[in-house]
Amino acid sequence: MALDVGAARLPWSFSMPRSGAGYWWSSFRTMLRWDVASLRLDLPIVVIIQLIAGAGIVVMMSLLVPGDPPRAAVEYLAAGVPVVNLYLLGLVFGPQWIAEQRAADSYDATRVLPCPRSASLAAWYAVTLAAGVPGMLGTLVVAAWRYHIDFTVSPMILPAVLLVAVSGTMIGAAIGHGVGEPMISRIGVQAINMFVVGFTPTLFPADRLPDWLQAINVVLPFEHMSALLRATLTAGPVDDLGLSCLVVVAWSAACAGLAAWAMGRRG
Amino acid sequence: MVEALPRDAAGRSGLAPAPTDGGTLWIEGLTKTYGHGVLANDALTLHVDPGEVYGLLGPNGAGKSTLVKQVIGLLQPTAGTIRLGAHDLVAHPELARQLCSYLPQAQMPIESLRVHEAIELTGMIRGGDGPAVHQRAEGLIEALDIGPWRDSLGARLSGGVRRLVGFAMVTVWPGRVVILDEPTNDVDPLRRRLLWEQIRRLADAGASVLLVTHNVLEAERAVDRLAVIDRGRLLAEGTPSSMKTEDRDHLRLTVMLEPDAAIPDLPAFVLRHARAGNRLTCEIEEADAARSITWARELMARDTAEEYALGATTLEDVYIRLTGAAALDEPAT
Repeated sequence: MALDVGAARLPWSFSMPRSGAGYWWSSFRTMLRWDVASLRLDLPIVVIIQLIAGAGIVVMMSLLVPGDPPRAAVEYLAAGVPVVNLYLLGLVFGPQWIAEQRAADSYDATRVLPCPRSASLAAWYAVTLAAGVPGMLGTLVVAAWRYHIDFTVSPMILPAVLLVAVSGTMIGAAIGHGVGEPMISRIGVQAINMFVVGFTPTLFPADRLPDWLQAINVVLPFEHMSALLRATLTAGPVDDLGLSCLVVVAWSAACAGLAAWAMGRRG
Repeated sequence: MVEALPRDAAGRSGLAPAPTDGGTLWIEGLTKTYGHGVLANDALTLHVDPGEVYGLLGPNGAGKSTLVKQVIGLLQPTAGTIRLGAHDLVAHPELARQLCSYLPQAQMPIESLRVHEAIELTGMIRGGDGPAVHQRAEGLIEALDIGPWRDSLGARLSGGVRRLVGFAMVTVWPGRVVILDEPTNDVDPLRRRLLWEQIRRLADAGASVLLVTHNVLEAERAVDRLAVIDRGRLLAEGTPSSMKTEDRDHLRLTVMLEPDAAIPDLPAFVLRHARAGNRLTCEIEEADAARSITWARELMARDTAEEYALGATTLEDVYIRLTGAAALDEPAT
């Protein structure tokens, strides 16, 4: 039986049931620290890759098209690449990180940490957002320098950036936590990344795609993520900003719910 | 000296009382059938009291890890109940994560975390506040003798040190139930002792420690009670001494066979035997001690065996009798 050591003599305590806003907030802060520390070796590399990739894609346009590329194309590209900057960590690297933990059989160790799923997802969102913004800014600076674009930055850029980042992060979280097979998860997010760059009107106008692919993209979030940034950065043509907001919010909410469910799912 | 009462992350001061009453972990009729029809747990019933180190022994695939994963809320039981005091842990898995600490069999994902940071962050996630967690973490680092790696990244740790760090992460601000799945894996013999000391201290402080192991010899020294599980069923339960009652008049003859030697013809007085590597373990009656020594010497003379030892039966013999398997681990020192 237990020895009566007396609680007051212990310099530590047993964890107790917690709930409420204080519990959520302390969980958010500690999970944020956990995520940042867990990725301290990777985050600088991710940011550098983002900067190089963003600048590279923008500059590539001038190498592909001799002389002065069409203004509309340049502005499309300049507003589209930041979408990739903002989703890359959450949508591509995030699921791969989870897949690594699954492959190493250490996924359960983090899954049993006693914090609300929403706080854990919110902390991860904060990390992906912070890691995506430098790449986005770098891309815009390079685009402004190389093509002399005068970005007409609207105050709505802030909610637009937050929305674009949250949708990419939650889609990635849903894939990472929802797909149990690490190999499928890894290949899946790479395929999605390729699909976004090549087959969605993120970096180019929708009318370059066949009608059926345009129809598919209407219900996918990527075209709308691009539209949100384009509308707040370049005042470029956006068909229906309200619809874009709605689609991005719907995808974010659905995927956040799916991710939270998958994190708590019992086999 | 009386320690200052810590304040938890939610702002509550003071310590949770050591749950010496009402905090018993009750597992009743626990059954788990996986989707492909494999029956991993078959109506298991057991309880673990506060202050008790309870061992779950069984061969690989016996259903030990499946059982503890249901306690912590990673698996959904097919049938049965799991209660901690008044709390229904099956209905409220989020409560299970708060009230139970779990060291999985696999290593913790701490590649980029420094040792002290991994321990302290886990403590804070579990509800402890900074200074109290820091104090406790430093105490564990010292007690487990992992100070030389205090500032090292997890990726640079050996398997044994990483295991100890995982233990410290789980126990820095422990749940009322502390579940340890093979905690001594890869840990060197000296630090194993330190680990067992800390496990005992946890129990003395009022934790219910549920220890999963297939290292029978270690378990015999460390647990207060234990259950032997095989193929999902509870084969026996009791204290190590009570489980050896049936073998009280028996002795254990251990013969180290020459490498690659086949099991020799066994005399009729050998009641049971098992082989693990080159170690042949035979259970005999006390009255056959002299005959068994003669037999062992003959084996050595024929270069079939290198050495032998005769001693009292251990929990391992009970385990072999119950499961028909040999414990493959080396004894802890």
